[in-house]
Amino acid sequence: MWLKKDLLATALLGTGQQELPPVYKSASESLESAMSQIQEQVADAGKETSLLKAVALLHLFEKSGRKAQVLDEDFPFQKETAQNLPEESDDESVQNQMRQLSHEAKTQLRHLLETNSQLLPEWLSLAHKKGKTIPAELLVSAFELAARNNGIRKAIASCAGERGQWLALLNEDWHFLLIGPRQAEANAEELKKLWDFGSRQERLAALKAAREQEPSLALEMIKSSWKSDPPEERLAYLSILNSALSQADESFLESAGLDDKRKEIRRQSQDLLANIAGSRFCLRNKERLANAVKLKARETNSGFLEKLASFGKKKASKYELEVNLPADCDKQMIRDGFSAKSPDARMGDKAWLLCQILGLCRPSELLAYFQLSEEELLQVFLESEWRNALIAGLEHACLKFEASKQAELILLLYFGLLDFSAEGLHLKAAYELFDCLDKKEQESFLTKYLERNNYLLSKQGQEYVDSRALELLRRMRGDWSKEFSQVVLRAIRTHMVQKNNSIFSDYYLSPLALKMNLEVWAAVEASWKSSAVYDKSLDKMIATLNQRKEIKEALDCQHQ
Amino acid sequence: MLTDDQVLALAPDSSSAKAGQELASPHKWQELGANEKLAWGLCQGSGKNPYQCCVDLGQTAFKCSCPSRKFPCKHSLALLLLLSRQSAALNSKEVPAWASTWMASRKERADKKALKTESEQRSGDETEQLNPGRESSGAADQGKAKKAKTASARREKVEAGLEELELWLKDRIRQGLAGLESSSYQSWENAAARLTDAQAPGLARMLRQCAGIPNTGDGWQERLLSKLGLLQLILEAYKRIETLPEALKADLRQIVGFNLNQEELLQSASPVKDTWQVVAQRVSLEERLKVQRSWLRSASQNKWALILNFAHGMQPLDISLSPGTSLEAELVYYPGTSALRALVKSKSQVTQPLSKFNAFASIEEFLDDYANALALNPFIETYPVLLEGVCCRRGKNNFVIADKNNSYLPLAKSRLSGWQLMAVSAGCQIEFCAEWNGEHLLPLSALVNGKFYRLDQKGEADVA
Repeated sequence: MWLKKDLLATALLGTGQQELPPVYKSASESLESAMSQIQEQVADAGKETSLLKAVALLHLFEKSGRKAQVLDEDFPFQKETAQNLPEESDDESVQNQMRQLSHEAKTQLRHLLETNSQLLPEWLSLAHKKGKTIPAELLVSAFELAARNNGIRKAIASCAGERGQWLALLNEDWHFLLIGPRQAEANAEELKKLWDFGSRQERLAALKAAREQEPSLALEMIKSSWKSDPPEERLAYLSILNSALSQADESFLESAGLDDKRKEIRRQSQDLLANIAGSRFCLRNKERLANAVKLKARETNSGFLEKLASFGKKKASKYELEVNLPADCDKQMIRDGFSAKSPDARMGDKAWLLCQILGLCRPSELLAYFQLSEEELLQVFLESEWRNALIAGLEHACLKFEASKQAELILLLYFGLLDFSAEGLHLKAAYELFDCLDKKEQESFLTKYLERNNYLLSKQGQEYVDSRALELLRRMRGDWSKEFSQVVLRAIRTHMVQKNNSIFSDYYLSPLALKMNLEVWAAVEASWKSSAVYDKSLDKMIATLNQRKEIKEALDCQHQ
Repeated sequence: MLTDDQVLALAPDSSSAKAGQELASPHKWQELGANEKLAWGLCQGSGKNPYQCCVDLGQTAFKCSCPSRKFPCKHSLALLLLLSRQSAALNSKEVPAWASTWMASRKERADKKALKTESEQRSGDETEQLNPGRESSGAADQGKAKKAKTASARREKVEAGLEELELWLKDRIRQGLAGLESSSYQSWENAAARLTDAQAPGLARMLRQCAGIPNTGDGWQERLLSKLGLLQLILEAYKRIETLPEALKADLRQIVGFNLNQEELLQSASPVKDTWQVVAQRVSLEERLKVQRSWLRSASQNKWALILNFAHGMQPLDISLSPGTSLEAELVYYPGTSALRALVKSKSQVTQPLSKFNAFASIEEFLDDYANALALNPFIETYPVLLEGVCCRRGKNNFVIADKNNSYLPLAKSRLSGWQLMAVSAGCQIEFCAEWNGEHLLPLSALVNGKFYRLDQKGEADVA
């Protein structure tokens, strides 16, 4: 061994600086005799050649005489065997056949993993629903993708199967795949242990599991390390606290949350407190609203000239608002998240204050306070001189409390589907309001909009695609109904036929193909194939739909 | 008919495979047709006229009017995928004029080539018949003299190149290898380029491999030195090539980069007929050259065969040997001591899925076989290994393959290959195929409960 080391040392430093080993001595007689021949030729061949020849000889000697090492009890290599893994066994039972993938499904998964395709989540979700698992040969590449892509982890973990879980347990880099199932099965004591000693992800998963099993335990866990944990962690705890929120959490949020140094934490605590009905935070704001805004009967002039002026116009509301705002924000208001200075140049400081007060009131409570219906309240707001601040406040409240009914009303106003005029209003969060609606509400809103607005053509000059409608379609949740998918396809087709030249882009169209109901495929295949208009984006959309159809068919197919 | 996997294996890159799959839908095609010899279709692209695409099914050749430089293009791949998935969609039977013109020109070229080969053979035979036992005369004489002159010129060139390499190696060792990690790749590249100019491409390839070793992590110094030692061994052997036995001489000439005429070899050498198991296939990239190594194992004898295929740039690789299958074939071995590299002379179209390897029962048996092979040919760099009843075990930083006697050999330190083996075997006993470089095993394939898995280097196993 030392000869090898000596030769290597000389080669590293170079024969210009380091002499060759004096004697090529070896434990083997035959090798030593061959080496001595090489050494004898140093003068003729040169030091460098002699060294390389000796290395070659030594290397050949080692390679050809190599013996395998033998495992023994002290040997570090572990024997890890997963016995009777159902998904790879030769079990011919119906259950096992159901679990295994067809050849096509495997080919698809391989391709989706290689390209990290946007269809991978759908494949995994369908496979999970059908009880199929990722085949053994693709587990490593799936886990490696999950390690790089946080968004896909849960879906991959759900299809890993028993073999995948066994494999993930062996490799620390893949332990994230076990987070969730492991914690869900843990008892209170184990959860506390994980909370005290686990990694960041394990702690969060333990907290989530505790919140689901015993909400008070989760609150206790948060309290135990709140002061010592960094702000990013505290923020993550608060988002977990959002589930199973109750009055039991109020005092902690009031004391620790509202007085935290970090603005984001204070903001999150305020949001949580606003969602606890009857909390001191809500009561304080209710009082502010009562002091600031009052409803009173409108004084009407019933003269002939007034009647003539209002002829043909929508009848004004019977009520009007009396607004009486405080001069400035007091300390308690600042603690509750109010700011005195308006962030929007188009809104004054007073209007901003009004907007904030309304924004912290649950829309249903607003209706109860004013004792008006949604439409009546909207009309009163629109007729007020504070209309901008009032509608913006309502918009904030809809977003904060995810009040879909009121959000839809504002959207209808914004998209010109109500009799009221939205002129002069500074609506900013239209798309976010749309996100508040559930899938059915989104479909019904867009069906109304598309049919009223001549499908996807914009009103101005009929030249352009209505980008607002396309943006809403793009933002929609997936898994559309068949009827709605047909409405969208009809809208696209009408546009293409009328203009004979499409200006759709991948940005808008490719998400649509991921959400459409696959039952429309037959119609697409029949009618779009003959379409004379070539559009690259549309073509891609149809290709994606086709791929989805093939994925479904392949996963429906039994293993052969 | 080709399977989906075989078609996708033809793709020059993954983006072509993806695009081909997207196009493999009948509604994208205006006309589709096929018969036993040919498949054709018209595919609407972004241009005014649809692209005319056809595939010769007999020899898997492609023609498409699209401007893509990739070969085969996505249209050709899509056409083959359609044929494999929905052959009923290729319902037109009347071959269009553009497709039949292409087929006719292909046939014409093939006929010309066959005629040329035949006439060359005939002229050789005639000369032999006219002057039995006498030296050939006239044109044949001239041809032979020219051939001999060319061969002699090449020999001189190679010898000069090898002399230069020896000098370069000496300089390298005199200066020392330390610090190579941070030094430029250029001096290696220059030396390799000079070897290519000297018509010793085999050694140029080895030198380029050496250049990459300083960036391969811990222990690179030892790995590099042993490779340089091997180069020196080749140089020493080449100096006395005339004194070596014929078989070793042939090995050495192959290593240096003297190519044999494959047609001549197929004609002259006697074929070995057997049932051959295609136990593994590996594709590596050298510069822009794709090298496909298919390892074949005789089903009944202790015989190996290595079939090499090369494809430059975007050209597709041969897909006629499908790993995980066995087939009746006649192979012709290249001359040499170790009888590894071979050519397929003929093969049956029918293949059977592999369910058992003709493998060694223990690691010790394999190491004996390896030592014998080294004794015959000391220049062997990698050697195939097939083992049965082995299992994959995990250590702190690496994996090993252990046999029933608890003997073990380490796997190459690739981040994922061990995990692939663990995933497919679940730690149970398997039949295993790898390449052995004297120190580590490079996993290539495995049979687990009769199911064949390809193990590649990207972290993915492939089931056949």
